[in-house]
Amino acid sequence: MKDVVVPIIVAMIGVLFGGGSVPLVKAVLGKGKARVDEVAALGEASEKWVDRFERKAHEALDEAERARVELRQVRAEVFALAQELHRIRMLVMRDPPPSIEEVRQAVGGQE
Amino acid sequence: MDQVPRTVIVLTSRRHPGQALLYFLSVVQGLTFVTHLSVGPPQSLQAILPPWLLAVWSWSLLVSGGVGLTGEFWPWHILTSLRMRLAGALMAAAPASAFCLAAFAYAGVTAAYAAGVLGVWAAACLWRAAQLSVDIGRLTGGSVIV
Repeated sequence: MKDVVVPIIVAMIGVLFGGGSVPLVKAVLGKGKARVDEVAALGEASEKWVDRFERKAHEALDEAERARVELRQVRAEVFALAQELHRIRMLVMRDPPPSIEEVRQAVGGQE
Repeated sequence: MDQVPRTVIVLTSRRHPGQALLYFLSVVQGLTFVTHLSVGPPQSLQAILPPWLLAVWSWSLLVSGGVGLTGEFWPWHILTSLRMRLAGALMAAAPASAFCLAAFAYAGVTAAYAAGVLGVWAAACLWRAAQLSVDIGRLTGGSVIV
């Protein structure tokens, strides 16, 4: 039994200790630390950029909402003007033609 | 637009108590075996292993515990800490699996529980080593640990 177990144990200790010594050597040498620090710094900078972008996006969305409300008001005014123009046109085209007084009244009663 | 909530999870501790305590036990036991302060390594190991391998086993117990414990409590760079933990986990699997095998070879199923615990500890160390290896790969590949 010993003849079988001892080589297996030697192999296990050798492989696992050998495998463990690789990251230990890397840890002692400090390999890759600079890159991790760099990434952490970049992470902080990018977080600031994302915050700034989010703020700007919110402002742009608010502005777009205000523009939409204004556009609705303008459309309503344009529709009212078109209706009035149509009414005056109908009056002018009438047969018999309207009197000057009637036309004055249709455009608001001013000379 | 609804703001997408950013979930931030803060880990209360990155240390694993079970692992840290077993590393501590490894250091204490390894130290007593190496300095001959106690009766020596377990009977099964003494019966099966030659003296030089018994010394290697005792030293591996001490070194693995020391490296693992240092990695667990390393206060400076996280990458160094993770690499030391990885080294500790891989090294700790060596004496544990050796003891598991020796106990089974020496006492058979009578040692099922003791050998089983050591075997499970070795497997847990390898599992943890795989996790740490993935974390280290991600960290050196450009990810950030929160």
